[in-house]
Amino acid sequence: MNFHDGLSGEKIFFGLSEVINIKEIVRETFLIEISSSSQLAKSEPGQFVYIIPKMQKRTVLPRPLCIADADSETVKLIFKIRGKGTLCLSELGKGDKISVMGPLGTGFPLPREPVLLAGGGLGAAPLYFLAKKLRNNKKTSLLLGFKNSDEAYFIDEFKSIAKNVFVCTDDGSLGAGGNVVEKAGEIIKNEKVICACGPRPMLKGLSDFAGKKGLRIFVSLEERMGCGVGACLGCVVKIRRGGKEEYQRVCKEGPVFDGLEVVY
Amino acid sequence: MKADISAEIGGLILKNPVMPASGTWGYGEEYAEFYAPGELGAVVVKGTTLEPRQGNKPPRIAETPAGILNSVGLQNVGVEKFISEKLPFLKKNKCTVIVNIAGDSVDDYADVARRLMDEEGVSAVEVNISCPNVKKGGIAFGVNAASASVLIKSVKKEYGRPLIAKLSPNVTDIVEIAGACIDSGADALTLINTVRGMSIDINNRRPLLPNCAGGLSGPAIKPIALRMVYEVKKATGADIIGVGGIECFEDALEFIMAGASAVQVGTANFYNPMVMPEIIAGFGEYLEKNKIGSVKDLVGVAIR
Ligand SMILES: Cc1cc2nc3c(=O)[nH]c(=O)nc-3n(C[C@H](O)[C@H](O)[C@H](O)COP(=O)(O)OP(=O)(O)OC[C@H]3O[C@@H](n4cnc5c(N)ncnc54)[C@H](O)[C@@H]3O)c2cc1C
Ligand SMILES: Cc1cc2nc3c(=O)[nH]c(=O)nc-3n(C[C@H](O)[C@H](O)[C@H](O)COP(=O)(O)O)c2cc1C
Ligand code: FES
Repeated sequence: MNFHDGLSGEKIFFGLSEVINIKEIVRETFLIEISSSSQLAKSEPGQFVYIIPKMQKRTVLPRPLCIADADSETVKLIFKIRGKGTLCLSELGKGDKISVMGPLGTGFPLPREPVLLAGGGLGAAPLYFLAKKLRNNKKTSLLLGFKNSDEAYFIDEFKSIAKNVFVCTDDGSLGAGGNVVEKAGEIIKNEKVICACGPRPMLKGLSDFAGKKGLRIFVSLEERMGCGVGACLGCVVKIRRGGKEEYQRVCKEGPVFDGLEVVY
Repeated sequence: MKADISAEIGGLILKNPVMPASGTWGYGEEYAEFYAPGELGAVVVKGTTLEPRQGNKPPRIAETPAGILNSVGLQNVGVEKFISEKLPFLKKNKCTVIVNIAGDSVDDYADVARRLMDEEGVSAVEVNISCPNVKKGGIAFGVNAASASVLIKSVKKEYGRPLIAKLSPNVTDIVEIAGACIDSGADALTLINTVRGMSIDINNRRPLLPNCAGGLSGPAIKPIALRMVYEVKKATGADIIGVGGIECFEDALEFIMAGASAVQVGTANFYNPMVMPEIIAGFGEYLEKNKIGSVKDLVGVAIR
């Protein structure tokens, strides 16, 4: 059977990628590097790939993961073990092949104004890619929140690409104590835009804050997916625009949405 | 001699027997990135209603062993917008278009069918008398032979090209309902829609889907679908489009041998966007290798 053998479109790659490297960066959280393609090399921050773990344990659907970095050689992804699919991915080794579809969805804009990138937990992953693309914008600050010091990752990597990196943890075990929403209120100065990724309550909190301060905000959302390409309407979130509410697709119009329009 | 992989369904001639299942392939635009939609036997679009619909609350998808549950509902742009915004793309790509239609009342269905009759680009309608997700109407038509019959008759009055009835597996006797649809004027049948099922979120101690129940699709339902195709073909001889869990050529061939004249592929597109071209190629290779002249020669060969 000719199952996934490297057929793909102009913009979307669909085929096998090779695992170039995989390591556990903090407990149960992995950085995996896979081989790239011409389409994946053009990934934008905030886009995602749809990864098909080996068809074990009777899973059928691919798993969406944000692109944490991409060039013509490799694509980096950071994921945490949550269930069957991510467990399966964590067991991959160098040289293994996995089936990948991407890049998919609509990513973050690249603001020219002073911008705050705010990430909570795993949500820091796509912001690494975004921060790299914003290296020419000297007015970029980063705020990274984690539960505690044991869960914090990539801090040095972030510091190597951005000047203003703030870290906070819920229990104060690393950086300042407190969560991303509280800290954003303290550190924001002349930023005009926030780009955020993390748990929904954090995104809602930041959106409320941005609304009050008159800032623009872009948030990256998660929802359970079917097709990953916009065809099944499985992955919707409610968006309010011009007084009208409608469902939009996380995999197509998203995962990045205008935070002020999301009905949380 | 080149193998003949064409198919015929209720008077409709298709260049091959493979098409997407309604609701899993949008309006053909999304997968055009991977191959031309015109390569398919037909394109079946999302359930279309008279007015636009919002659909159900998310989350709408839950993975289950070898399948998925969905409660998308009938989110769609409505028949007018379908015609003005979605149909032109399909026509441009020379697709044979089958529109899946749905509604809350017999009049709703009839109105949508009448509107589609005006559009040359629509080759057939597939009447969804089986969507398990709409509280009103939907399921009611599909579980009862008498109401299915009333519905099919009124759509038939409005729509002169091939009419296909899509049946629900969530019934006691599928053969009886299939017979009622054929007697009322359906030219062919699509078997099956999703099987009602459920999933519980044990951390939150409640059903995972806000709608509680959802429709099960994917490999998990293939044996159920096959059995229904077989029984209905054997009892009625009707033209059947088989659907449920197909993920490779061999699966599709099982349906043909059980009595389907064509197949639809739904959930498998989600994990292999190339699955339909692969199945089409599989038919050609199989016929040549086994020196069989036409796919039609295989329809129902397994029936005993
Ligand atoms: C656009 C997008 C980007 C994402 N990026 C990342 C990332 O960079 N790193 C990371 O660790 N996680 C990310 N996630 C979440 C990740 O997809 C889930 O953790 C993962 O699918 C869980 O799969 P599982 O098999 O381990 O868990 P299971 O619970 O066994 O999964 C069962 C089903 O539910 C779905 N599911 C479970 N949790 C989620 C979730 N939070 N969001 C969407 N679907 C879910 C699975 O995909 C699968 O279909 C992202 C989700 C989305 C929608
Ligand atoms: C996300 C999703 C949406 C669907 N929407 C419709 C629909 O609008 N109308 C319809 O008749 N069937 C709908 N179906 C059912 C499919 O057309 C098909 O009958 C079913 O999924 C079984 O096939 P499969 O196992 O190949 O997916 C939907 C199925 C899925 C998974
Ligand atoms: S997952 Fe199918 S539309 Fe988004």
